[in-house]
Amino acid sequence: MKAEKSRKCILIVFCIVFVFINFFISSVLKAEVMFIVNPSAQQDALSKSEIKSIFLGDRLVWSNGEEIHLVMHGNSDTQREFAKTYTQKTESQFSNYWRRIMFSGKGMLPKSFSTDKEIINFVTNTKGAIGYISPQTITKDIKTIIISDD
Amino acid sequence: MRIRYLFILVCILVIHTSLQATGMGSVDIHGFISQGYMQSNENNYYAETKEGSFQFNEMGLNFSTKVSPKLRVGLQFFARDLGNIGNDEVTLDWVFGDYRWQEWLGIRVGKVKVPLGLYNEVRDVDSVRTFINLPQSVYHEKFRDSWVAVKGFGIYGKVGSDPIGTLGYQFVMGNMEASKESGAAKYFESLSGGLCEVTEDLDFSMNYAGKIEWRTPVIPLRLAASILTHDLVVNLFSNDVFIPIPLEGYIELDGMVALVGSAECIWNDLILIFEYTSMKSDSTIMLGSNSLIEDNSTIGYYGSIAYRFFSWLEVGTYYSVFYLDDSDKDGKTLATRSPLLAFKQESQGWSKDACLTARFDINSNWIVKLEGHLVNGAADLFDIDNYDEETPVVNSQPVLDIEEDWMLFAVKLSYIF
Repeated sequence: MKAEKSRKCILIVFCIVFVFINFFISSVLKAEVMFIVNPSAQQDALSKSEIKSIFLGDRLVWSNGEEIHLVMHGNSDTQREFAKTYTQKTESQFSNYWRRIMFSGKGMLPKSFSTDKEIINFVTNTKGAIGYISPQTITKDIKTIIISDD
Repeated sequence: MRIRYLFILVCILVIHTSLQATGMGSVDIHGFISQGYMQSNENNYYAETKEGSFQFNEMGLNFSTKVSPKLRVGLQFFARDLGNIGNDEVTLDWVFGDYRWQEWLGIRVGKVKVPLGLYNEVRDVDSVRTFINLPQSVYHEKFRDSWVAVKGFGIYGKVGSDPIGTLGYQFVMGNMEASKESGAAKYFESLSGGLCEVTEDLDFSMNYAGKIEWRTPVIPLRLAASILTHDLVVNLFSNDVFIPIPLEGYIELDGMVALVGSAECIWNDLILIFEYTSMKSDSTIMLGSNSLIEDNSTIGYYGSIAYRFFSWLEVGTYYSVFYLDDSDKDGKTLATRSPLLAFKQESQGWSKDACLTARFDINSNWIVKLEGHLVNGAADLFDIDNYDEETPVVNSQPVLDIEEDWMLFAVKLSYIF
């Protein structure tokens, strides 16, 4: 009886520690991302909910009717931070979300590039494009978007 | 591959070439292929699993292109094999034009997926879920190829945003079809214990399906309610192997309604899901001079937990419960309702399935899954896969060799691109 009680206590403590670690790790592993758009874009700012709507494929055009061209980051750390902060999904959940969209016919998979340089090149040369990169790569000739809380 | 599918493919490629010439658009091509193996200690589960079976695979090839910012066309070819269901026959999984007028209203015309529960629209794609075999209480394998899509049209949209959450809806209307090689056809053959065969493709009457979904703003919770309705008449012809005298009959499902309630909570790497379904229909089975007419009501539900421990490892478990008749949960009256069902065993009235799965994401393209099931009940089994080997028929009645408690092991390798 005593041993059974001890086992239950240990299991409960383990679960609490496990949940705490899960929460702690997700708070610690933060890396910033900056959103960039094509220089011809009229947008200077977007809200977090607008970013979410765009990168989950719900919104297809800008307010001026121009098609939105999404580009995703192939770097795991950057993708992870973006997905968690702006879509409330883990990297694998975000990936699965787009696979479900694609294979059910509800949308097309966005383009993806592995480096900031490739993303900058695509966004600056594609009208209506939006992507995200690490802040350290930002230069003066790249147009960034200010993200506001909802 | 049928000629008309080739024609559709050519049309897509012509559109692609024309758009390329004008500097617009490109055709995206993606696909997947999965190969599995199943082994059971008792009972055959859709294939010869008692001896181990590799007749368990799926493959899909997907083409999509944008004609304009709001208009997209695409199609997906699909083939699968599960025992003698599918037999790798290439079919058109979906093909439609999708015009998204506004975020709150879009329309799809063609062969569109049926929105039912959390997984019906993507149940063919192994890589988007934790488990190899979806809970059969809600996602019956036998109805997979008939409930997957309708030829008709659908409307959809989303409204709202944070802080009130988003409300999404889908509604589809059209005709469902299933070949005589489908799980549904095999199910109807099984209702007669295999004494009859389905010799024509199944043609459902006008079908309707819809789903509303609310993603809550604060708690990471998704709530959904979906419905599917259809009518069906299936003509049966006696199987000469068992019945020397030719018999004809039919099965009629009138006013079939399936309802599914879903709840999904995602918190970091933890996914919790609960789904509940009920299915009601007025069913009539006529075979020779025997008949069975009843209002049929099944219920099923499951709860699952999945957790991603590492980028390469996700572990999940579910407990699934299904009752063939919610007024006869222990199956005691199953064999007494009609001479047609006299061969049925009580354990075919329910199924309780405890599943444990490990999913290994080797990289972004390759996935391996290992899965085990402990099952009590035989409601998920086909009679025609489980005859007694020594005496399959006695007095024109099938004799079944079914164990109430059994185990199933499955492994699956998938490649996605």
